[in-house]
Amino acid sequence: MDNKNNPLSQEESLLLISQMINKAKNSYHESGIGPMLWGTVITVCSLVTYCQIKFDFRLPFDIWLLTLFAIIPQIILVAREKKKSKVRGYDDLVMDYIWSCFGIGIFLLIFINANIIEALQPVFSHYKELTGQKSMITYRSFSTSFFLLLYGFPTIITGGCRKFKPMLWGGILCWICCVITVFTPNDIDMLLTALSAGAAWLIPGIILYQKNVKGKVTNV
Amino acid sequence: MEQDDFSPQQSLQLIEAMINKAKNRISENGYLYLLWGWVILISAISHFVLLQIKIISHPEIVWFSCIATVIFQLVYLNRSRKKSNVKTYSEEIIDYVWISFGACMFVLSFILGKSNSWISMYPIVIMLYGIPTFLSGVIMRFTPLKVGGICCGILAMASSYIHNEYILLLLAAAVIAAWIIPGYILKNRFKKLN
Repeated sequence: MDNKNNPLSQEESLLLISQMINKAKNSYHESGIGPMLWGTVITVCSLVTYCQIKFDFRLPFDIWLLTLFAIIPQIILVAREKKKSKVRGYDDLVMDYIWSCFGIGIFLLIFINANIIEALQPVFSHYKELTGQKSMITYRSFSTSFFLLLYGFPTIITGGCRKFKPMLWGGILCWICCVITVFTPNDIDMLLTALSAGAAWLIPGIILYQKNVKGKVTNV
Repeated sequence: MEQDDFSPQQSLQLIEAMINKAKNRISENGYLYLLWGWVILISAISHFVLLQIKIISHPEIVWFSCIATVIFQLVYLNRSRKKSNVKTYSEEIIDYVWISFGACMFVLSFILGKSNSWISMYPIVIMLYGIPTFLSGVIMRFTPLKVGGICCGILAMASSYIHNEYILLLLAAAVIAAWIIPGYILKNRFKKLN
């Protein structure tokens, strides 16, 4: 492009900037595919776990392993988006970091939970030996609350920063469900997790995807 | 609007100038990092010392200092909001990050209070300290905060192996790395710039 021979008016400059911004907006986070993927995976895992508790059966594998497999399509999607979009906005970078921190946070939470469950196990076993009853308090029954707390964190930030209300409300619902799970048994916890994942990621993801398909992504 | 013609280069210069202007407007003086850093540090050390010398039955009472700090912070933010002009996009994101963190800590206190799972409190709290700290470092492009956030992640993992009062010393180390050191660096930088 010959820069010197193509002077731009202020309107043209602003149009060029807004086109660049809109182009950058069609990123991974805003195409809705990522939220749809994770919303579906977490909802399915939670519902299957609910069925396992409710109808007393066990799958030959841990259904939550699906979350590990979901990382593969996500990496492919991110790599494809990075290749496609030449312009990556500053807030895209920030959103990448927010969701990466969330991923690391989930890893740390699993690690912390595993260590604490291991540390508490002798206490619960001793209680059972002494009383002949199962402990009323089990750490595992409260770990759902911690996960829902963490689910809400990046969802609210993303919804707030991008002024995307479905995600903001979805994140707030995660925290409401997080408080409710303190009082509910494990099976209901799983239903609340499915509801939270559906509201925080799946539904906003579908809305974003439809807007993208229709080419109406303007103010999200 | 005037019809002054802009060459693409001039347009880019204008954008760059606006970005630089926005960059310099991150008016972070480190005050809140230092405030919270010192409050948590003093509370953690006091809690640890009180547990060691056993002179009061509820040493956890020292954490009520956080409620007083929240009230003080709300007054401080209200005053500084009146003084400041327009917020940059970066500042807006940082606000969302820290407001979400504050709400997160509130919900976490509720869960832990109800579930009696205090043993898990410190590792999760240290982990949660790290997330907004690291994100603020990324948004502000300020390495000490990024390093502080990473330190919190490592200390959170380490603290999950400690199940006695020594975990409070790890909490103290986390706030020194995440808030106190970056807070003083920000304070000095702010003094030099203004």
